[in-house]
Amino acid sequence: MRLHGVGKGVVLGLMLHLLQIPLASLTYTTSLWVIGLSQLVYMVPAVLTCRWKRRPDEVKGLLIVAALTFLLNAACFGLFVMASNFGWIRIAG
Amino acid sequence: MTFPVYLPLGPVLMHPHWVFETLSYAIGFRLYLWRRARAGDVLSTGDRWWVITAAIVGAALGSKVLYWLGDPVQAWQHRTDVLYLMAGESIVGGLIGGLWAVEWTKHRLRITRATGDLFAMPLAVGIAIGRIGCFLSGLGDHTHGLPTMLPWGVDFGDGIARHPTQLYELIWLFMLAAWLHGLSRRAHQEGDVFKAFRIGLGLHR
Repeated sequence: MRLHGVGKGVVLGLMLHLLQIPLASLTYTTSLWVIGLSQLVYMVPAVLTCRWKRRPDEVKGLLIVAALTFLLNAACFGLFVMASNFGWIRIAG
Repeated sequence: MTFPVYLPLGPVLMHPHWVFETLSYAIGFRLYLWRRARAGDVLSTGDRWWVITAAIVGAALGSKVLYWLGDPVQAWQHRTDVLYLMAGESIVGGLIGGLWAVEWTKHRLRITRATGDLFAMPLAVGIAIGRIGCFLSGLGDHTHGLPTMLPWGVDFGDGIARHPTQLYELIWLFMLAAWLHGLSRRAHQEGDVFKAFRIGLGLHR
């Protein structure tokens, strides 16, 4: 299965996530906690732009990255919140 | 063993749920690619990617919606609390949402053939791997079983031995995956393998 266009969309989606760095500094890291939602700030324009440029494979890649980010955020967010409340989050070293 | 069992990645201790859920997606996808290369596909590559995209997006939305509907009163009371609304997901919701989105996409693309057989075994393995993360997450994951006096009961940290239902499901899913793999290698009707997956998952639950 060739990854060309879809792969490009996935890479573009992952690179767009770098925008979370300035977003996090603007929102005092709140945007990182809800990355599943805050990613819409750049994912929606990116998807619309790719659609407008008639690049359906890149749209698919972007949607896959956005949906997986949402899933991973939803799965782990509650646990992290609970962990931080109970002092479970630890950084070693 | 202290739950959650954090996994070291360099200087950072990673939460097991995140690690195993990420692994489950990666391994499930690799298995799917392997199955597709061996068995071929009834769809063109472009259409297949639309089906995959629909499955993932539908799973994301379905898992969240069913999680809210699992306790609608709580969800309504916290309707303005983004932190509450973003937490948690439902595997069954993910499967229902994914299935619905795939059928909708197939309808739009005018695809009438069954397309789920290639997903069946990778899905079973993926969910099984995710269950390792659920088990290692302990009580906070809310996937443990009822208290038990049986010798294999697990104390997740509150002094009460409970059924490790995550491990029961993991064993069942690996057996199901092996059966589905065998089924897909024998002559079968299109769509039968995915039906067998749904029946197998339903029987366990």
